[in-house]
Amino acid sequence: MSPATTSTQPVNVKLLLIGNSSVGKSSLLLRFSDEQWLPEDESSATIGVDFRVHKMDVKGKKVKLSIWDTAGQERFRTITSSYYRGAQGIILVYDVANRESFEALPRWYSELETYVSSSVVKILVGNKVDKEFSRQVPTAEAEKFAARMSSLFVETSAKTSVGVKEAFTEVVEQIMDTPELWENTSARGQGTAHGNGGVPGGVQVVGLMDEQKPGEGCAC
Amino acid sequence: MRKALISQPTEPDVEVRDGHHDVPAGIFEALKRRRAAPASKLVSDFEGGVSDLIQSADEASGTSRNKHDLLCPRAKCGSLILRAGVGKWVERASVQMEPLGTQSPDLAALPTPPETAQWWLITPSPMEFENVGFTRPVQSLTELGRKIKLLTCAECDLGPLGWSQEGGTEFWLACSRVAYRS
Repeated sequence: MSPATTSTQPVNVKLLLIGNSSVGKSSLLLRFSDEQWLPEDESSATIGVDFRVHKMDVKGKKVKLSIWDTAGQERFRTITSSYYRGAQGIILVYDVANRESFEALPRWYSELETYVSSSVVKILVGNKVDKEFSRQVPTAEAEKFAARMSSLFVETSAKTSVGVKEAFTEVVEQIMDTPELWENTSARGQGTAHGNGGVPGGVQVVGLMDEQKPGEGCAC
Repeated sequence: MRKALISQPTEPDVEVRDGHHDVPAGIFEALKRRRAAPASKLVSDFEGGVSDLIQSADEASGTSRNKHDLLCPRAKCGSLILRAGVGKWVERASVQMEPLGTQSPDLAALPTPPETAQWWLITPSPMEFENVGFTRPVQSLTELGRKIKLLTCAECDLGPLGWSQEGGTEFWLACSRVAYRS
């Protein structure tokens, strides 16, 4: 499937959120969240949002994003290659008020080198700019780092939603402008567009690895 | 142990401190972007109940589909979950969706299984939805022997609005737990 599908058929794009715990990855997608409907002691490593589907318009095209969250696995460094499979865009998040989360970024980038093709679009997101008074990472420094890592860069506040929409829009626009992210689809066929979390011929970034257990093969 | 991501700390939508001189750049644009929630109704607002929510045009095929767009039932959210005509109306056994008997005050209680409930069935892919969130499989909840994932509002995390089996291709939204665009 190419991005140039008919206007009625949305383009499916798979994005991943990565970064240290507590940098606000999940909140980037929420307009607000004051509902606590899952008890905190309910097997917390296993509950949490796995992925979200979000529809948006980019450059006049309808795009359906499936955005995957690590649900805390980053704490245990157990993100597996299957998590990265088929991703066309990566959103690396740090907290501008938490220096440590910024300094962890090289480790995240080296993981990306292992698991995803270099054509996958990356954006560095400095979140929580609403905490300007306790900022520990200057904008200019992060901007320079992002450029060195061939990444887009934006600062956001999930709390006030400043920059959030722009972050997603920029990633998707660049994905649309990168044809090789849409090539090599024939071997996988159209079938993967359905029932697989919207990964229509996403890049086969790694060979099939063994980590994927039965039952985890599908998005649902 | 880290708390579930879905139970995020309570934060007001927008906090403006110290009056006019301390408003972060871009905040007014952000406020403007927050769209008003669309007018919507719940099943209980329809005189004929679920039968008012089903398209009448497709009787030939024997399937009854949702006549209205389905929205998040939280009044101030109203995120679009499913377009009209995408879900198929099914009456089937109710499902225990609340872990440990918790119950959101914003959501209708479902009948106790094996009593039946009304559902919108969506197949075969999550990409049929406009906006939706899926939790990781819940250890304590199963349906027909498989763990289930819970469906949530993608924009405010309200849930559970529905469920799916882990690895399944059928996604079930409770008719009583979504709102209907007026």
